Amino acid sequence: MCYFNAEKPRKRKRSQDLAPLSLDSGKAYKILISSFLLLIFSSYQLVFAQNLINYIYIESNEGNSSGGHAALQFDNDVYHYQYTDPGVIRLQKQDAENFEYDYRFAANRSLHTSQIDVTKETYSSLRDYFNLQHQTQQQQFKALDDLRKDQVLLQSFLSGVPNSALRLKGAGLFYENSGFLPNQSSNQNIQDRQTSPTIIALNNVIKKKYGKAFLSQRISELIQKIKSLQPTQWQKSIATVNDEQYPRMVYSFANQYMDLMTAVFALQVIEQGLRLREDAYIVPPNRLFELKDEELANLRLYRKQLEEGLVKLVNSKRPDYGYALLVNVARLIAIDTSIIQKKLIVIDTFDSNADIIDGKDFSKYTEQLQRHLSDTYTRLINTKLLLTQKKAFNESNYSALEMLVNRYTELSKAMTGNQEIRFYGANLVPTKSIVLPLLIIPEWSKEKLDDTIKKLSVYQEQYQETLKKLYPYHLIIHNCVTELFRSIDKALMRQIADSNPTIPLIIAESTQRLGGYVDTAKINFIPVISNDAVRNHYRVIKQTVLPSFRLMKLNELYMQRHDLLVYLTENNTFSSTLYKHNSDDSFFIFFTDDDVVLRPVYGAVNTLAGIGQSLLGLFAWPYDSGDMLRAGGSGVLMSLPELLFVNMRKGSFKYLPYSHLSTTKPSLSNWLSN
Amino acid sequence: MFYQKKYIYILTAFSITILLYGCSFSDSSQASSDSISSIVSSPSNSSNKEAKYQEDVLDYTHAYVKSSEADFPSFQKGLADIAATHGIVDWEQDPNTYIAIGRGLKKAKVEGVTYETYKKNFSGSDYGKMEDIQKGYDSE
Repeated sequence: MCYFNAEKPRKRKRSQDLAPLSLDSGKAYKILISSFLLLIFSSYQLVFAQNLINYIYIESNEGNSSGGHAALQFDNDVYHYQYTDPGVIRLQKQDAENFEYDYRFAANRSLHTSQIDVTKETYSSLRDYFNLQHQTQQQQFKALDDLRKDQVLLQSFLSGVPNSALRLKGAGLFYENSGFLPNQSSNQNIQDRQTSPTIIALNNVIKKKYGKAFLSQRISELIQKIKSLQPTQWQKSIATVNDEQYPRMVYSFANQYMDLMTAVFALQVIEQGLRLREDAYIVPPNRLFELKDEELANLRLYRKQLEEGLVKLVNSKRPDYGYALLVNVARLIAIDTSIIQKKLIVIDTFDSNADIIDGKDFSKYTEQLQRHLSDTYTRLINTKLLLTQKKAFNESNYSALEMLVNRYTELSKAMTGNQEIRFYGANLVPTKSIVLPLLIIPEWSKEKLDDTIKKLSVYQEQYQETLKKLYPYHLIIHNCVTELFRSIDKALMRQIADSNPTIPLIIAESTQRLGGYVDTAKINFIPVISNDAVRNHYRVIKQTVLPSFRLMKLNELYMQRHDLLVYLTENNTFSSTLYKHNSDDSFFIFFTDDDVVLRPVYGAVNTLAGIGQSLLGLFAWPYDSGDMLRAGGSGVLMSLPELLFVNMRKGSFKYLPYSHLSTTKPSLSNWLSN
Repeated sequence: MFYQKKYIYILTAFSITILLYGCSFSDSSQASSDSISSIVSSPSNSSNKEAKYQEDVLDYTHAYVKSSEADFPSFQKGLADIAATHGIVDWEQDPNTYIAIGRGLKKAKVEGVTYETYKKNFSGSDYGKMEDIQKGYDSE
């Protein structure tokens, strides 16, 4: 069996392509018997247990993970190691469908999956280990960020200049960035602002429940707390860090300061009955958003629920209640306006710094955008239908509806001309932020500030170095493959009674639990070879190839049209109907992932094309800062393996509709029933 | 023989990629970087969404109680981040939060007085929330 990258016969039909690869066997009757036994066994597994772990080998492609990639799937969660700042390799956890979209669809790589049969106990111990390691790393790298935030904030105090890296989430719904001055208890932002009847009514309910002076007292308490804040005690956290122990959690100085400031802003919004900013909400033009009586009735019920929650929230003990207040107060205003106008009006949920894409960039992708729009429309209609159901409409439904309205409105702009749109960055909850203003400052002396900043600088450096040592990245000995197997070994070591297990003991444990042992000290550190090793050593009961997006669509075309015509049209980037060249890919002419025989010939043409582009890039250097030269160089490097019959580059797809995920079978998200 | 040749090819290709990038690197601009993909691609199934939220809170609680030193405000902040990824801002009003916390405590094998202390702290001594934690604990 050959595992070169996607070396599928050109004329293979889709049904064949998706069929699981056969397991080793010689004669036909043996295949028949083993298939029968496998079928019974697989059915048993599906019906009675789901203790299957999916090892995923992701084929190479240009750019991100050009040497291939590997991941481990437990149910709907995919764990994989990625290289990240500051030069470390970190465990990531993704939903299976997001992972599949990123790698199989957008990055156009075929996925090779091997389902490993394990006991319930082994499944739990491996899954728990990966989860714990993921959570541990999340906390550790969050602590590093928090250390930096502490440092940046104190430097701002020292200089008296706010730093745009520190932002107050949610405050941007009611306040502008400008208009704040240091040490100013009130600001121009709220002067001459009209009041919101919704907030005034809410304030009355709060006064009735907690007393007239409640909000002003709470604000005074918050200001006092801010003034008496003390530096974070980082020493202990830094001293105890290791990769096995969930770290000591720290509520850092900067986080406390920002939470308290957000709460001051939030309570001030209610106390002064501030209106939403003009750009904080979206009024969709379409009739689709009109609300029927039944929908209005349910929206009123949800409004009541939201208001009750807000009354509790102003008195909450959770540290970040300010942000929750700002978001839900803003939503309350939007819902009241929706009820009055009988039309769905929602808060803008895009990030304050969401990328804006020029409409001209979308000119090549009209079809994809149309599909995005129609998919969003369908989901929007379905979610809006929840407003007509008797079952209580809840916050997560409202958030989904809000986000879909945001997305639909934004995509609609792209369809009406060359307008700029925000394609990415719509959140499930609003996050509009402002730069943290230095309105209230803790009462520290300059010496104390200087001293704390110096200490923080040392701690940060020390902590970063510790993390780099704990999670070092190395192309061969600490890569996405080696770390997966190292974690598997560590999880198995926990099952061994011996406190200092030797390698033979680990091998024996691995053999008992997984059917064998994969040694990454050998050549198995290469993703494609690790795939062979898993299949040869572990108890793999099923192997599947999930073809890349282009190969999947190509197979569909072969089934619909004449083979030769499809081949000639789709084997190059000029006439391909499936692929359109985009700036993420280097320049190339022939696809070589589905043609083994002619691969070196096509590779030679692609190499020449890359050299040509590089030469042009030399002349263009003064105008494009070397972009074309880099792309040409990358094109040459990607084409060289093709001369040796090895394919790496496959092209990638921009702005692919997400609905491909739900219409594609088999897929990672339904792998247990594949 | 064939395998040897194959490995030579692969090694050569791999050496070339060393000049580029070996492993996958974290890219915040990845295509599915926001929550849109899962909302648009999958049906609005409430029970699925609740189950996913519970699983995430359960895993987080499980890890937290194993912490060498527990800091409750930090725990709540982390909880808020998880809830936000599920479209929940006011997680204190969502019973699923407390059911999942109870499940996480059971999974971490927290028992006796320690369990009662956690239950009281997590719920802020609110009777309804304590009941939800117990419900989750018993169900796991």
